[in-house]
Amino acid sequence: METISDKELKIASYFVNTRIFWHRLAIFLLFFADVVLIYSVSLKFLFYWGGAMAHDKLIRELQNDYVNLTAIHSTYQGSPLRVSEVKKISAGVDQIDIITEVINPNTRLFAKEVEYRLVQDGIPQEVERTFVLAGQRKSLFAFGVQGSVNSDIQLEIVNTRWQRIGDNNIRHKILSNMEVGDLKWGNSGGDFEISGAISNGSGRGFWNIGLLAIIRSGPEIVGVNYTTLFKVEPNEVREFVINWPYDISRVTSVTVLPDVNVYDDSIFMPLFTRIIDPSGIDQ
Amino acid sequence: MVVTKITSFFRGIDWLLIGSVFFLVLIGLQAIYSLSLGDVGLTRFDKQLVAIFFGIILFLFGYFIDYRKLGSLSWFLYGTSITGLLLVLFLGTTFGGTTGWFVLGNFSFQPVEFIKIFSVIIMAYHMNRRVVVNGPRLWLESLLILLPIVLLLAMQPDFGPIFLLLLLWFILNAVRGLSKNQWFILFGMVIIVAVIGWFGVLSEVHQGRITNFLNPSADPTGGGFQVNQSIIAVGSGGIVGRGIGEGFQSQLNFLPAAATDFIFASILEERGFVGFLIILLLFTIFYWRILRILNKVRDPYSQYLVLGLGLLLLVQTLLNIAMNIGLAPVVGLSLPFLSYGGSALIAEFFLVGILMNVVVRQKF
Repeated sequence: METISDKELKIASYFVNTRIFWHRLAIFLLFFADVVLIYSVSLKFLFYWGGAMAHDKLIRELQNDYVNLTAIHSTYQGSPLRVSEVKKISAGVDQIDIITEVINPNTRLFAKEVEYRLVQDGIPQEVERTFVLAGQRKSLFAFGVQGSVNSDIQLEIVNTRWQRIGDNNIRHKILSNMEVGDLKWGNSGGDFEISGAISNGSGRGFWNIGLLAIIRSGPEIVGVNYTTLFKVEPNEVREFVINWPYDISRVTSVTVLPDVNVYDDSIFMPLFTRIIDPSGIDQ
Repeated sequence: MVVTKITSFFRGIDWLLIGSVFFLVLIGLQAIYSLSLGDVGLTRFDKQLVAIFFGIILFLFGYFIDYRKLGSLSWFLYGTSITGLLLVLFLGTTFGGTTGWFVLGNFSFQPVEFIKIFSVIIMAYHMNRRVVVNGPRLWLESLLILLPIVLLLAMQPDFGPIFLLLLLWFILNAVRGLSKNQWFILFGMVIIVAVIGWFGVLSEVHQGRITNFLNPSADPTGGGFQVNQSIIAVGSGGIVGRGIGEGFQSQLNFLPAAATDFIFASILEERGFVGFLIILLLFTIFYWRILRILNKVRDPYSQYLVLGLGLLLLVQTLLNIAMNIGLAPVVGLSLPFLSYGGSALIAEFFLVGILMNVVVRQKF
């Protein structure tokens, strides 16, 4: 009979006692690992799929335009310039002066360049250019036009270039700081003359300031004229005289309006700085 | 006569195991081909084919040599391992901060891939000699045997194989059957080794890998970049994948180490969930067959050897897949049979050869 050593017995005991356990445990762990891996990889797929769907939804939503352009346009949309009735004033034999008003109804749009022309008896005249500030009623005129007060004369706006004015732009307030005062008028030796003074309280100097004079007899305009003042400095009070080479009777009111394109940088004189001594004495 | 002998020798082979390896290598080749599309000159695909050729030779070597003699050669294998690790430290080339490669022209060789197998053979041989004895003395002995290899690997530094070897040491000792006290002592030793490793051996980069694993979203463009890109690649594959050469993450180089450590994510991106199930099925068949071998071997040496070799691949497989899907820290381990890398593939073929050798010689 074959004898079994202690060592062999211990080995045999180990095999019997633990081998089956380890084998079953190993099989279980192998398939458990499979389940864990399938579960984990499935989660990665699902999370990616879910994330991709959410991303697609976000991209689709981003393509929607949430800006209500209709409301913005209705608020900020510009209205065209309006032209009032053309007034014709006799200025001698077969000559008339013409005056009309161009109204800019927009508060945020400045008509930086307006091309217009007179159409006299159906014939278009030469194109002229001007500007109309935001909200301004601007008088346009033509002196010594050939024709009579019965001629059919219209003012036609050919083209307008607009510029939007920002909410913080205060240039339009410059004109409100210019005051025309001390107005006197009357006939003198066959001429009609207006005199007065313009006070430039805007704080800026101007290379030139246009002055438009309108004379009324009651509601009727009976005369218009235009002159230009040069180099008007800040806080300067400049006197002016405007003449008509003929007498004008029954004048009831005179209006003189400053005409400055406040959005044109080239009309401003450079700012000159002065060194202020701390003691308050100017050097 | 010789032909008959060879035919009869192949008769006992486990064709299911070989078949699973064959299809895994095929899937890996396809993935490497896809990733090599932009390569110039000798592509990674070409190099992998060369590795397969040498792998088959090593498989036959592992298959025909008597695996029991490998055990008696364990001191020679031990000396070879130490010499190889010393030589690579002085003569080797550094890639990615690790001095672990001998470069010969267009090819490189990483000795650690074979040293892992040699270490398993050495441990199996040692445990067989002390089969009746179990306890702290044996654990310490086996740990001391491994220690020079571990220290030399730490000098490279290459912490993936170190982790793998220490885990094998733990499992091989644990499966011998432990009392409660022995479990406590063994776990105590593991904790001591872990603490020494964390504070004394691991660099900030390697510590960062673990902290990034615990909180990958903390630094998605830095330390967590690899794992985040890998998870995106895995998830973006969908059910059937984007198709060969169509993976954004791997083809556009968002996914680092797409052909090596993160080839699993590359494959899933291009082959999808279906590809994953196929890979999982093949690996399951492979390890199930190894368990079958393990269950049938009759002597302790063969048992330790098969268990060690099987665990070597299993741990690598599980860790690699887990790190690809963010379940484990990035440890720098390739995926067996699939990853690009000649040395690893040749060594794995050699390993499979030894397993088949066990099957045939045990004649079950």
